[in-house]
Amino acid sequence: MRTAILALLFIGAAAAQQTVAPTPETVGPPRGDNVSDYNIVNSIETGYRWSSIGGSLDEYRSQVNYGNGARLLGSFFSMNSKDGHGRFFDQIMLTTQGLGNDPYESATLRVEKNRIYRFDMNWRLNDYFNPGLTSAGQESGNLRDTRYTSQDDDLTLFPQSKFKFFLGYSRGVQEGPELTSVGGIFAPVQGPAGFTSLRDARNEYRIGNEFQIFGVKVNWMRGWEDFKEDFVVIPQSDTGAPLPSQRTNPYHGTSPYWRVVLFTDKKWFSVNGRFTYTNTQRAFVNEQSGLLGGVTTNLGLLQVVTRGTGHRPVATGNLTFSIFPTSKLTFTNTTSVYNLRTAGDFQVIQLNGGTGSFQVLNALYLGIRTVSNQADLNYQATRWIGFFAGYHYSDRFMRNILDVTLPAFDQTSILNAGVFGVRIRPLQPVTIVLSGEVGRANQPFAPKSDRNYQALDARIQYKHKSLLLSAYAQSNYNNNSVSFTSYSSHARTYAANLAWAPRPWLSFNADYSKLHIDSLGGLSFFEGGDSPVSGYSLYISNLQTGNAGVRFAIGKRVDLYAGYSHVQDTGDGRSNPFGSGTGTDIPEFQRAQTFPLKFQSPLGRLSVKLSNRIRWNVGFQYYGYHEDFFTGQNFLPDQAYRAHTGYTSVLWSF
Amino acid sequence: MKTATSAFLFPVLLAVLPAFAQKETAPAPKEAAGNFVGGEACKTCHADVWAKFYKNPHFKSVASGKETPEHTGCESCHGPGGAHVAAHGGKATIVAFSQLEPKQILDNCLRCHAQTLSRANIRRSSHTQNEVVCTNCHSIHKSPAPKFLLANTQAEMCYGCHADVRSQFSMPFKHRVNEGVMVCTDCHNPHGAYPPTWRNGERPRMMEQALGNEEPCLKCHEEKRGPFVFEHPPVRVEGCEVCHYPHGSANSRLLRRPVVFTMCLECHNGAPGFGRTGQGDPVPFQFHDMRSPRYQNCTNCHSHIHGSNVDAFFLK
Repeated sequence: MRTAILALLFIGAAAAQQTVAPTPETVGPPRGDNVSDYNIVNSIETGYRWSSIGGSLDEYRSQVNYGNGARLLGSFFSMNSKDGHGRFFDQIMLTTQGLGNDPYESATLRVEKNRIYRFDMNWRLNDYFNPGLTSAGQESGNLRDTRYTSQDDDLTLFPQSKFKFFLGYSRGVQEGPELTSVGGIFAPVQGPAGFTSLRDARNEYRIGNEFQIFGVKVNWMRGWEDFKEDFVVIPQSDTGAPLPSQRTNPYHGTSPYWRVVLFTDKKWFSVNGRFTYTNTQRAFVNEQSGLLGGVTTNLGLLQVVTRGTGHRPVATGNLTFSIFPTSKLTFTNTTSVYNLRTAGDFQVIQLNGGTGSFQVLNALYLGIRTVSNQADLNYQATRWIGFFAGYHYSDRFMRNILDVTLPAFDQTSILNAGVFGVRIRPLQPVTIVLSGEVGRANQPFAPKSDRNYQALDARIQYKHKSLLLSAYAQSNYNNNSVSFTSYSSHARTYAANLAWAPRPWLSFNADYSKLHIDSLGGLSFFEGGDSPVSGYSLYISNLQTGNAGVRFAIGKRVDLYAGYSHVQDTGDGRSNPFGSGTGTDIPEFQRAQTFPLKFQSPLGRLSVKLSNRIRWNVGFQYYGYHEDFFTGQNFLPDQAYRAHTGYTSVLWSF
Repeated sequence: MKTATSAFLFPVLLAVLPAFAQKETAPAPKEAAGNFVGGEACKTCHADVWAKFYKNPHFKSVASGKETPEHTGCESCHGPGGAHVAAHGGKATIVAFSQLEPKQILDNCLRCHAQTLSRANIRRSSHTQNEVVCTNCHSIHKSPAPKFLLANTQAEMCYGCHADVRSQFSMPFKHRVNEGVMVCTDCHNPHGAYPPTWRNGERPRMMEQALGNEEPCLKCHEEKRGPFVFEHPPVRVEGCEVCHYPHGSANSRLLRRPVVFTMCLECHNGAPGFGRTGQGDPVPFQFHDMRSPRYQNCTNCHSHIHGSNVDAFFLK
């Protein structure tokens, strides 16, 4: 048994290598060190990352973004009281990753005193770089180089009691420079791009309580989420020179919410009900001013102020029953109600060359009310076979008011869906699950929405000691046809996974996946003439992905890991972007029908145990990205890149 | 309407069904066992488990000293150990999880853990339907993970069954799960969730919803929550996934198409019956000559495509 557990752990170590660092190996005494009435386990990994990039640096930063420099690659610290009666705490646990300027950083902290309190903190940073919409060689004026940080703090008082209190605070901030095409005065067609310093901030405060009455647990939470976004855009002309105009757009709001949940779980039934109410409100002012003479038309000074408020109350309710008439049968029914209304008022004030105009408009009204009911049956007939089935019903009513002078547009969409499945266990280590879902919707919202769809799944898994084999196949078909256009989408996924640890010092992991998509959609567009052209789009993707890794330990001192990841879209099989003979025949559409590319990333790592408390590690990872079409053609930029990255570090325990 | 009425009849049927309940044919292992002996007896033979049990969250029941025997230490999960001690071991004399059927494992754990908000829907979750129960993901005695007694790092454990999802996170553009910034449970509740009423139907499943049954995307992408004076309705009606792959994509910004205009035009084709008026999603104006690269990247100008307070065409 111990061997099997160790083997499974090594499988995890092998499979975990999507990124080469931090090092997953552990250091120090496995059971830690005893200090007074506490046990301490700790480790710190410090080192240096390096990278060498050729080709498109923008694309590399958008996809990978590891740079150079010293890092605290990872750390772990835990302190546990041995008798569960520590004076101020019974557990402290701290983990960090990537601190010191990695693009992806995180830290978690837990402090707990049994029966009294538990505090959890989770902090994260994501360095996000987007060079605009660059797929398929397209460029845009929307560039972003931001850092998103978020933090969640939760304090639970009396966590083991039947009377608990919750206090929480969350914060998220995205900030950094942005080049945006949100437009100048006359943005519609040729609005110049502008620079801005983006800053979105979210603060959420929450307080709650849980208690038990008559055998039913009641959990309530009251929260307030505040949001603000402030930026000033200074547009640039085509030559890069600042224009004498600006745009200011403060946008603030709050989302106070209530959530109440009641639930109980008994021997032969369980019931839970949940109610939420969120009343999001937003207030905004948008001011644009500029001297337009010589830029587009000779209109002189123009100032436009748009201001207003919007509110969106959302009320939801859920009620779920589960009953267990026998030990083999579970019947569950859940009813959900969702009610949303979006409304508000706004004013547009336009001052044009000293002549003012003033207009008050209503925000577009959007109301959605959805009622759904789902009944599911789960029956284990024998030890080796079980069945499940369900019927799902949704009724969505939507009301749209585009102008107070126009009638409301109402529509009702009803979806009926059935799910079914069978579980088979012909042998103890083998599990087979076959399932499907068939749905019919009478009024889909968009041509791409589910209308007549079916989804079929098959999964087989073999798990025995240190060997895990699984395979998975899925197909999703959707047809959505109306009088003169049609939309159909076929998606088929095949995946297989192998994890095997034949020895404690040797483990393998490999997986393969193929995703086929073909979508046919009706199109209507202009091709320079006065009348729209009708055509269709046939998009085909054959995306194949493979990952493999092997971990090899030499004696008790050296661990080697080698892995490889490969992603390739073979497209529809054509060798050049200019036409496949299908779909709408203008070249721009032909080129958009498929997008073959290749992305690969081999990696290797060596970890040497210098002593019981010190390891030395070195690793290398290559990233290569290549787009088969559009590269260097038609003046479009080459977005391929090759990146050699690596690190060396010391992992130690004090 | 008739269908709606019949849908509400289910709760009534539910109330009646227990009357037809059968008596359980086989007693649960816990009930079949003998007297409680306490954890001290267990550690005699299972010293390796006991040696670090004080780090286990279940140790709280021992440290408390106030719990009843059936809720204390080893016997709270494995049942009374009297017969097991008397027989000098053996899996037949105690609740051995390796011998239990999946539903028995679930029931055993839910004796204590059912009274937790995040597990309110575990009975109807896809995992339960597929016989993925507690011990498939949690290793009670040998967990290598710092929290929640997980049997592996969270992403790796999910990838073990969801190989297709591992592939999606291997794409050039993806949410940073493999990089350690995000975890699967930021968006999913593996114990089961309420239906995703932001759209019709049951899918996507097991989503950890934001404030008011909203998509979890809005927990981080708060600036897209709105309300906006001009909403792009598909965001609210169909959800983010109508345009984006949430896990990973070969296309920038996790889009479903490499070229933006084809994705937009699949809906904006004027086909009657669709859109917020039911008269079709508007066809782009005449000046959008699709042969020109300027108009092929729609979001170059329609940069506030998720919603705008200023412009009905999402230009600013």
